[in-house]
Amino acid sequence: MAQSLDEARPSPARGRGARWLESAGLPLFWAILVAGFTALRPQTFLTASNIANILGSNTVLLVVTLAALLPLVLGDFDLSVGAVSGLAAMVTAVLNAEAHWALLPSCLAACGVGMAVGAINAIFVVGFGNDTFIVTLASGTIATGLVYEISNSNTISGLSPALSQWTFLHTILGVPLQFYYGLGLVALLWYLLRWTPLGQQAIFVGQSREVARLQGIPVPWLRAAGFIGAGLLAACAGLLAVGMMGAADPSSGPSLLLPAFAAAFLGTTTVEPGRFNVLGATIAVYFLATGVAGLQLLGAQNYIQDVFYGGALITAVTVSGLVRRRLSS
Amino acid sequence: MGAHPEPGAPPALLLKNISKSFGSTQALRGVEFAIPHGEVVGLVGQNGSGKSTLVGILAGYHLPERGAEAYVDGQPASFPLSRAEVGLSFVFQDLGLVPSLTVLENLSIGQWATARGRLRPLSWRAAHREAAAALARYELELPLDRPVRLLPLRDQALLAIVRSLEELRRFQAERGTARGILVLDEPTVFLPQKEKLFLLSFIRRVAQGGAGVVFISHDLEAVLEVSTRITVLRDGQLVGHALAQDLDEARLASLVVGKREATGHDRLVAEPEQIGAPVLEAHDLWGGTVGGVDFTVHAGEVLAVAGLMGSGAEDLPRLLFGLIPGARGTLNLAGRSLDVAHLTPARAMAAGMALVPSDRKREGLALRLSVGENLMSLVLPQYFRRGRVRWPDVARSAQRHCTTFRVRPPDPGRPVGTLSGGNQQKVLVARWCIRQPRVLILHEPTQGVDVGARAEIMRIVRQQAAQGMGVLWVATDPQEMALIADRVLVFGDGRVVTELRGHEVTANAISHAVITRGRWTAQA
Repeated sequence: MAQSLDEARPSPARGRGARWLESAGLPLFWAILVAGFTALRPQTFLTASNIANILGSNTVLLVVTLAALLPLVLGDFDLSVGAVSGLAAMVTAVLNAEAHWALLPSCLAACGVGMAVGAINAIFVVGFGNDTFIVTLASGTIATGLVYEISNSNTISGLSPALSQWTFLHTILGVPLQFYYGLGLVALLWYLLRWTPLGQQAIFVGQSREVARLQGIPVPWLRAAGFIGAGLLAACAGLLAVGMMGAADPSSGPSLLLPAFAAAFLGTTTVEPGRFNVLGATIAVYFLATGVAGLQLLGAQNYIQDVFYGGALITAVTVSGLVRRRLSS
Repeated sequence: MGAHPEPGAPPALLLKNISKSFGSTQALRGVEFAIPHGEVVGLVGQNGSGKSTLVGILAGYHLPERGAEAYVDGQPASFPLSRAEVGLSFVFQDLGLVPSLTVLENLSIGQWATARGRLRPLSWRAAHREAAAALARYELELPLDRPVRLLPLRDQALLAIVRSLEELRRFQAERGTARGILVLDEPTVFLPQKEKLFLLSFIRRVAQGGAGVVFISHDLEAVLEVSTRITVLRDGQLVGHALAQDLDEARLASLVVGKREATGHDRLVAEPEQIGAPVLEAHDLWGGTVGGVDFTVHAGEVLAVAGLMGSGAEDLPRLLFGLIPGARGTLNLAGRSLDVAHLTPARAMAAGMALVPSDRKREGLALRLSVGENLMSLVLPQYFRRGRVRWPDVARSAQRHCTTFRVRPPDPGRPVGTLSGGNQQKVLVARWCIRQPRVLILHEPTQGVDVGARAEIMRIVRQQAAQGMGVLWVATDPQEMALIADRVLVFGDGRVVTELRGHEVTANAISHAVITRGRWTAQA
């Protein structure tokens, strides 16, 4: 099965060995990272609680990464996903804790806000043909502004405890529930992109809009759906963030943007090298999470996280650029 | 304007024994080309005759092979020719203007690009004055502050020419000489007749000012109108030089086309009984360069469409696929009527049309995706069973199609961008054939394709037609059309000017009809 898949999907023209090494690069590097941290901190790193921590507390990043990934597959950048997750978190917190809405309507409203921002991005990028960087940078900035407006720049707490219970406090095998939610979203997106004709159409749109258009693919609608889906996923990430922290912090959203893009680009080096893919991005998220957790155990200051994420993004785009160039030569 | 050089003076530029090959293709073979002062030299030849290569050598893009000689005013010069030293300036078909910038900026950019001291402050007032003076020198009036895209096409062409002439003036000032050569590559294709005549008279005036002008065009009428001498190339060889006054259009057309003819047994045409009912009827099509066209494609038939740039032929495929904004007309496909104004690729496909676009890399294939993905993209829903795409089945079918359509290597997993041009084209043609369209539209299907793959593509297309598909083959190579076409429509000025059928379909007849826009055959 895996073999015949290989035949239908693209594979580099080089030998199988090199191909395998290329796909395995990130997982190998991950294993080296784990081995290194285990050797340096044998008492703490490879423990059940640390593993549960790494898996459980990075679901927000995972879901924001999926949000960034969806437009990337379609050839668009959405720089608003971090801010939108922050906005959705704050909308939930304000509606539930301050306006005393019930939890479920608050969450649904937050999802609606996320999709609305996605729709606005779609209108201005796809409808008016503007540059995707500029529009989503602006909409993300507006979203962040709104967060400060509706929260009065305060951290909002006092939400219904049910949210935290059903996302973070309840665990399976010691790992918070939200980890499994994240895996569910990964599976859903992986299915859509990998196992349906729709996903294949999306990939064509991302590779070349003109080619897709001449095949009768509704390019604008797919791109719009990508932005709206990204907004929805970002909002889901916001809900998980509120659940994890028990509160909404106005500064938390935008800081997710860079690691999410780092993971999406790192993911292009593995599983399906040369293209944005869900499984690769998922592996990359936990690779990054492992690196940060390990560095923190080694006693690194908090800023090391930013250095690590930034370095990973530059490395990732360089490597994926090299892979792409080779694939198209 | 400048003084006319005395008769008998050496030409501004003389090229001798110019040869050039690309791989196994000999593009030029021992060609001689002279550009006298103060004259317009027409350079004509069909696609593939070596014209573009010769221009490339003049422009320094290509180096000729050993043995080539160049003389500037009788003095030996070396390759690549220095534009500044020879005094060469070019206007290419796309004119090289920036549409969003103003006339003034477009005129001045050349000067600023070469000026020493790029950080010196600009004086817009001085630039304005100089630009106005430049236009006045050629007795032209153009609105300096208007964006170029708002100018009529004629004025855009004039602007590009004036900019080149100004570049020549700068070269002349730097070198202290009066010589200069202006090379115009198809500058008139998109112009209506009246505007063209104005431009031609302007070009003649430029030559009378002392510059040597090379005028390259497919438009034989324009070449005869503007040139004093004409150089004809065919298959990379010099056919000859002649004075324009000794030639008429029919005679020039024969020189350009020559006497080549495909041998009869190579033709891949349908037997009359294989040609069935109409599958596509087009009525009164307008849009782009197409201006009022009617035609019918029958089942089992390969209908070729030929024409020069600007004739309408090049816009027809995109028009039929809903890609030309503002197009109108009616299409009838097997009883189903389509309004061209509301046509989209999806609707065209739903009605049974398929388009293999001319720009394979930009519009045809997703180069980074695999052969299999590109091949199967249109039929993928058929492999979506019980909740997922059955990739192993897709792979098996892709493998089979690779063999049927002779894609080499027959490896569906390879990125399609790593295949040769010919094999990429086979993948593209195959993608649409797999879908079994009623009408297959092929736009330049053999562009950038080697000889072997070309023959295979023609055979594939003929096989598809034999199964009842109607094929519209829009291309520029008359040899090829003579091999594959049951019928040929020749376009000129947006309309069908000639139809060739049966034994009339020969490379010669197509070439003549194309370059004379049908007038020559009408006389014959």
